[in-house]
Amino acid sequence: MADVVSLGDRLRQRRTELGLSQAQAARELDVARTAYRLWEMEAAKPAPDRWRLLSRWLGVSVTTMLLADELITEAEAAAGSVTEVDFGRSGRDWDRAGAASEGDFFTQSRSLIDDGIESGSITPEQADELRVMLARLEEERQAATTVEWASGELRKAFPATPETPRLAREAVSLVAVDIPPDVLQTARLLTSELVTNSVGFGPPAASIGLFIDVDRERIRIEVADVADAAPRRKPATEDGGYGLTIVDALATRWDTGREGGQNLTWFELDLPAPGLS
Amino acid sequence: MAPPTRNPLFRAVPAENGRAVHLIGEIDLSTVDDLRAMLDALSEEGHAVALDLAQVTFMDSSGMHAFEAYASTLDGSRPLVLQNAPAHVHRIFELTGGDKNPNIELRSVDRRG
Repeated sequence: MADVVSLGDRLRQRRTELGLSQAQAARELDVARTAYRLWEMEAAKPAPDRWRLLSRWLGVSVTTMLLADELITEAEAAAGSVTEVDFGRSGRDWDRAGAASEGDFFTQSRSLIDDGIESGSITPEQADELRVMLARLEEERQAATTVEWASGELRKAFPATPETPRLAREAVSLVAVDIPPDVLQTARLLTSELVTNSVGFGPPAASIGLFIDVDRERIRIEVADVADAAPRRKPATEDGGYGLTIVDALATRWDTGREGGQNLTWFELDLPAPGLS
Repeated sequence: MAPPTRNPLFRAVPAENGRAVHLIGEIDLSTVDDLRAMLDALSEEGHAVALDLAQVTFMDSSGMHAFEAYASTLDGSRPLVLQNAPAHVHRIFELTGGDKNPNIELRSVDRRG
């Protein structure tokens, strides 16, 4: 994991590789040219809804890309503390979205093989080999899309800084990518409130543990900190006093307590059955 | 991983007519100091300016505390006007009772008139 390359460098490298101008790259990624330029300059970061498209374009996994983008830090990656990032749900959507273009890929490849024989650039034997390989690829792709998709889960420790609530929200968006938008919005808000409380309560340089778990019925988020005092509903006159009020109003279930020497607060939001909304 | 030269997550842009300031981006722990500084600057200038929240993409209770702290410095003759508040912002105000603060006039997107 020593070869962590910044996102800006990665984008520039890939663009050069493809022989594109910044404007052309921006068009391929469906963003304004200014936004793309800022990404390369590392003066701005792509929003979570761009991550998967970007990772595809770069030809790297989302995790690898985020290593460069601060959500998962270089040090943590080296220490191997990023235990699990499961993009199962999002993967299914990609497969669906990609099915049409990949269909095109197979059709195009077959006609390229036919052209190759006609023009004499490949032998009939080579063409047969290529066709067999294509058939196998197509079969594997179909098998991959029919496999039951796994739930999303992430467990990660963040250093406690003013940036942590935002990083935690982005992590929620990343893992819970296909839950209904209103539930995601609430999950992001409640996560932000809990992490903000933890940053405020914790001693300097404390770390904050975040656990995100999405299954068919609910999203569960746990926030752990190492503050000495048990968390409590602070008076609303103090900073942080609204956090638990908001959690209490919007969470389907929530609780707070001590676990393994840490304060742990969790909440759950029920998800509607797929297809209903 | 060079840090950005400025904070692209939150900024304030005055409207062309000078009567409002557009807040753009996310208001949370990492940007609330910018919001507080901006509110302080407004109160020093001393003229009535509405804050337009239409382009606030995220706000948690950090923003609520900043608005309330500013409102508490007002003498009651002229409220802090927050206009075009999106539903997610309006929800925070409702949940925290900020919508009942006499020094804050919250105009939501769906209640313009």
